[in-house]
Amino acid sequence: MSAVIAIANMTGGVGKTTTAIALGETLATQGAEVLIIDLDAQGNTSFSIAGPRILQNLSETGRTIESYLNARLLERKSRRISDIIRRSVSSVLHDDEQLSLSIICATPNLRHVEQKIIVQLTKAGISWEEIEGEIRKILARDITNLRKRFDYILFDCAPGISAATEAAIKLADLMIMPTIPDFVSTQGVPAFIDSIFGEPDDNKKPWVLFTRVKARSRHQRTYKSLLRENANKPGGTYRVFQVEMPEMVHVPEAMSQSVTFTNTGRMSYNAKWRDFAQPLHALSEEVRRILPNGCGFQPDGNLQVHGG
Amino acid sequence: MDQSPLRSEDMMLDEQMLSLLPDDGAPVLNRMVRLSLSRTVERRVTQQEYFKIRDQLIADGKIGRARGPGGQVYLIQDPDDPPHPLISQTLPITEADLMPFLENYLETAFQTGLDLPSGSHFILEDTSQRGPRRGQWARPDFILVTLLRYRFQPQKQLDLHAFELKTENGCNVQAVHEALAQTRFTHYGHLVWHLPENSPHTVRLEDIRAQCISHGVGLILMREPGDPESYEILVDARRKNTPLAIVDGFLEARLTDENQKRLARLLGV
Ligand SMILES: Nc1ncnc2c1ncn2[C@@H]1O[C@H](COP(=O)(O)OP(=O)(O)O)[C@@H](O)[C@H]1O
Ligand SMILES: [Mg+2]
Repeated sequence: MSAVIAIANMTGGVGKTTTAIALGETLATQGAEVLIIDLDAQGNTSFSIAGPRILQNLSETGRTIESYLNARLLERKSRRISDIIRRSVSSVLHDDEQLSLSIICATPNLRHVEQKIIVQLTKAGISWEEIEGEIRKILARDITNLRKRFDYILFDCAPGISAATEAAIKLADLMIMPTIPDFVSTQGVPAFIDSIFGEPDDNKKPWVLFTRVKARSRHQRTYKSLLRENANKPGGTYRVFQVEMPEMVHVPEAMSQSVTFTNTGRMSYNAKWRDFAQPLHALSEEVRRILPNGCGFQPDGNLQVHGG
Repeated sequence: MDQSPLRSEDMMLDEQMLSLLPDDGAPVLNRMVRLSLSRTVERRVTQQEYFKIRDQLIADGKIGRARGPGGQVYLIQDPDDPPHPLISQTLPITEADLMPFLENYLETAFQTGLDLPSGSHFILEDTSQRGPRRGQWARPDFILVTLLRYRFQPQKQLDLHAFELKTENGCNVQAVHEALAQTRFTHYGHLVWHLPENSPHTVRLEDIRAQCISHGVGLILMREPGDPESYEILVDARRKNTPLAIVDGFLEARLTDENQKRLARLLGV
């Protein structure tokens, strides 16, 4: 059985995209088939993984999440989600083989399509809840089919409010909430959870992942223990990952796709993520542990071996 | 949308491989070529498949094999069909390459566009290498001071502009925030983006433009770096009410002594 993971937080700049890409690539080095779905109109994930040329081609040929949502919700046309998946997209090698990573891209146009969906359906007297429910119904059906082909389906969600993001969170087996342990980033955590779930069931509680953690910051330590305490209180609405993602200077650099014929220095997973690979592997282990039974891919034996 | 274009898979793998290799004959690692091939045809190209194609192309005299770690291949150039000079330019253009062109544009077309009243002054300074590195975003590539003289009023108005230059693939929403952060110390912030016509990076333009508009950051597109007339001001910068004391301190830190003296003289200090 495959696992659907939504990576979401109301706040921007907390490491959602970094987590989606880095976790996706890490799972792929362990032999899993991974699909990343970009739901953020900023398209940072799409840009980073696909690069400008492939992204432009996908955009021109209508192979994007917005073109799919447009067809399904506004034009009421049948459109297969498998047609918008871009396979073999990774420019990262592990053991000399390309990572088995596929992507569904988003471009800035997603913003317009989402607005159009809301305007048109609201005009037709359909409420926000119903719009979100409709998107969820369509996505759920298509994702069910994709579960047969992918071990992990990761949603990189949009910050702020988006019907597609809300739908993805609700249909996911696991929601990861990257959070910088500081005053600003932790403020919105309970409100965001409340706005989506009200009181989440035990098995629906989102998992907070501390990102950009600075070992020496007293300020961050305070917020980390505060969130861990609140998570453990009775009635706590979230949990917290044991593993913490450290702040590292080369992480932003790793995200900007710049492997070219003349610059092949970072074409392997290990060269790309360097020291960040250790917490990433720990994160992938913990994700597997907390996923509902039977979800996700169980690598046998040596984690570093990639099929092929 | 229904008329799907020719899928890349339809092209033969060997033709794909030839079209991927740099026209100028620069050698590329085998594993890089195989990776690019997989990305292009949207499926895994196995090692076996790859080497079969490669060996055939070598036998046909279309590509050559270069020595070196990892093994490399290169395109053998057809003497009757010299590579297009623009395409063969494989080295990416850096910000440093673009700086002199931007300087020229600011001094010509941009200055003309400001339409300064006569008797006004214009001081441009390359600050990309100057001043403390302190503060992540406090170092613009160029700053520009204009000193406006009015005909019937004694006082002069000083305006300070900051310019942040980005290469074709170096521009994203964060660049807008960098340009915005510079307006903590200046009156105007501009983002200058080298975006040739038909660039694939145009997909980001709408988003970046919207961010510039909402933050009041100016957006200038550099189409042909060497041609000042090709630059397009897409978004006009909004003037920020930055406190004078802060502007003052910034000028002191960023202007050369020579320009500081010149400015002081012009202001009659
Ligand atoms: N562990 C890290 N160390 C250093 N920088 C990081 C780390 N994680 C994220 N960043 C940087 O923080 C910024 C925001 O991260 P991003 O993943 O884009 O956030 P989001 O998707 O939530 O907006 C980016 O510039 C990214 O490179
Ligand atoms: Mg993001």
